[in-house]
Amino acid sequence: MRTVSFSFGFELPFKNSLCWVGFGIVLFIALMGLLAPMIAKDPYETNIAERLKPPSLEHPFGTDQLGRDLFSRVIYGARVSLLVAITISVISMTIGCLIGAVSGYFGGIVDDIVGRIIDVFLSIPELIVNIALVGIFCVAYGASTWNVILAVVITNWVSYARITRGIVLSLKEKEFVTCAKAIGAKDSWILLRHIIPNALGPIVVLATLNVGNVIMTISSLGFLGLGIQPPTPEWGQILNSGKNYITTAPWITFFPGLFIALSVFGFNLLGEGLRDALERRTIGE
Amino acid sequence: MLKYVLRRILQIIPTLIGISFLSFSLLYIFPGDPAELIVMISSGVEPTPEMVEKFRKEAGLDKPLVVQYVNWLSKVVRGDFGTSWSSGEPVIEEIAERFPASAQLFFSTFLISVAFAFLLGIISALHKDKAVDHICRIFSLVGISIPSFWLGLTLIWIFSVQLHVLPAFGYGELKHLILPVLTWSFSFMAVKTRFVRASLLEALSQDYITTARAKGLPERVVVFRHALRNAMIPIITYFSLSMSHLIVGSVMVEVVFSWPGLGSLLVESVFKRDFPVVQALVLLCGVIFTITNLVVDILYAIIDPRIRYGD
Repeated sequence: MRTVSFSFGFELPFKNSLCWVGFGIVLFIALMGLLAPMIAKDPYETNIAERLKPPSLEHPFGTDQLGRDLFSRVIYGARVSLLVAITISVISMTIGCLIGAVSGYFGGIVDDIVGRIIDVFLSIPELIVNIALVGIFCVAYGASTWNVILAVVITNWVSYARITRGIVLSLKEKEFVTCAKAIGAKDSWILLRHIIPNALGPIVVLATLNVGNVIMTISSLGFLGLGIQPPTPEWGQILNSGKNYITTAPWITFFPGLFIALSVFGFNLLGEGLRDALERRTIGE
Repeated sequence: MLKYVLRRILQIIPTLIGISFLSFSLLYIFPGDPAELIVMISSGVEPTPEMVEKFRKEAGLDKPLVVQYVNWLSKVVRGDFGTSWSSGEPVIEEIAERFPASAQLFFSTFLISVAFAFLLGIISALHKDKAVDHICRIFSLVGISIPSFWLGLTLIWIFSVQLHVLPAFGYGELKHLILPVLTWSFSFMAVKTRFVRASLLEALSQDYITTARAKGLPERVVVFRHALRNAMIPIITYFSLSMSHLIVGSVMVEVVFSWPGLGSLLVESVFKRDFPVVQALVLLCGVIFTITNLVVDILYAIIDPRIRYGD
């Protein structure tokens, strides 16, 4: 079987076609965001004469209530969603992995406290805390994209901390860690050079699935009117503005929703495919 | 047995304290002065320093944070969540008023999703890696990837706008329930199908299954009597964890269909800056989840002695 080797140490068989479909979708959405200025027109340009027009050659996805070209807004929306989702995931990953690794490695009271905090966050649906936090941040700081990022990071780091903590707990008893300790390696060295590289596979899988989840969260907040504010083209928020026109202009809600579903689906397929590959390697050992 | 129950109850106390502290701090993590903010929101005018000072004294906001927390908690355990800033009614009454709608939506969705999750999960597990398994897998991946608010709007467009067969919103009759339940069930059962499949496969890989098959038992008996029964413990635990949705339900589904439940109450309260209501909803979600978890654990310990002596 032909395989592609990944630097973080597991092999991805070509056979796993679903995973490659996921990779293709993610690549497609990423290219859409990257090349937006070349494919799309100005997503902010309003034209009242052209408002609520159905899809046509000139406007493939139709126009919205202000006569803006929806195709351009959806294309630029990929840029907004991906950028914000990746920012959130990277911040959460850094915080979560650090807290999880330190807590699992040193144990004791720190680990007890971190364990309790994880339990608390797991007991309340994330979106509910996000909604409450965004609402509060809006009052405190005024509406901005940073509110959304901060509110989502506050709940999102927990899954990274939980998974890293679990891996570190199981790795720290392994021989290679005992050996490293025996030759007098410092704790920080053992964590950064021995434990974290071994935990990378599951973390990459989690991060892939997580970007999909975060895209869903951002667009949900956008749909509620609590997320990234207009006129920035964000998929959920375009849906929100179009929901009052569902009888006359259903395309305003249809296309952005389709792209939310497509990108979340892509990240889920890719993440699951990577997880399968990882499990196959672990069983292979 | 009593020892196990007591230990489990003791274990959840720190979690409950954590949940209460999280919801308490929702009101106090402002960079500014909470007293000023509360006066501003509840009176609707720019407050004078005297008004703020007076309110601070009355509400006990001049005391140390720990004292405030203890005062707040001692009221909450007696069911007093304060009064709503926008209506002036007790928060608990607002919640009680909206609860039936949420419960109706949740239990209808739960029943339908569980039935389908078992059906599809068992079919998938029994045909592992066959075409039907792949189809179920893609179906459940699609289920978790489609935003429920988009699915809801699309169903409204099909069944209300185009076909005129079902109402887009409203509450009280069975016909109002159909579209919201359909929308929510789609994502709800997706995750659960996967879980049923995984748990059943795990059970089917055990030694006692090989024994049962070696005895020459029919496959039907092996699957339903031996494997599924053992798979039920993780499955029921996992399903019961979704009880936290009983309180706020699916916010997105409730908002799309203007369903008068606690999910729309949460969003309305955020927009009205009615934070005591928001605080109470977050708290209730966490508490219901933790207590359901405890009850399920204790029930299992009664049924299955291995759990009692396990840890």
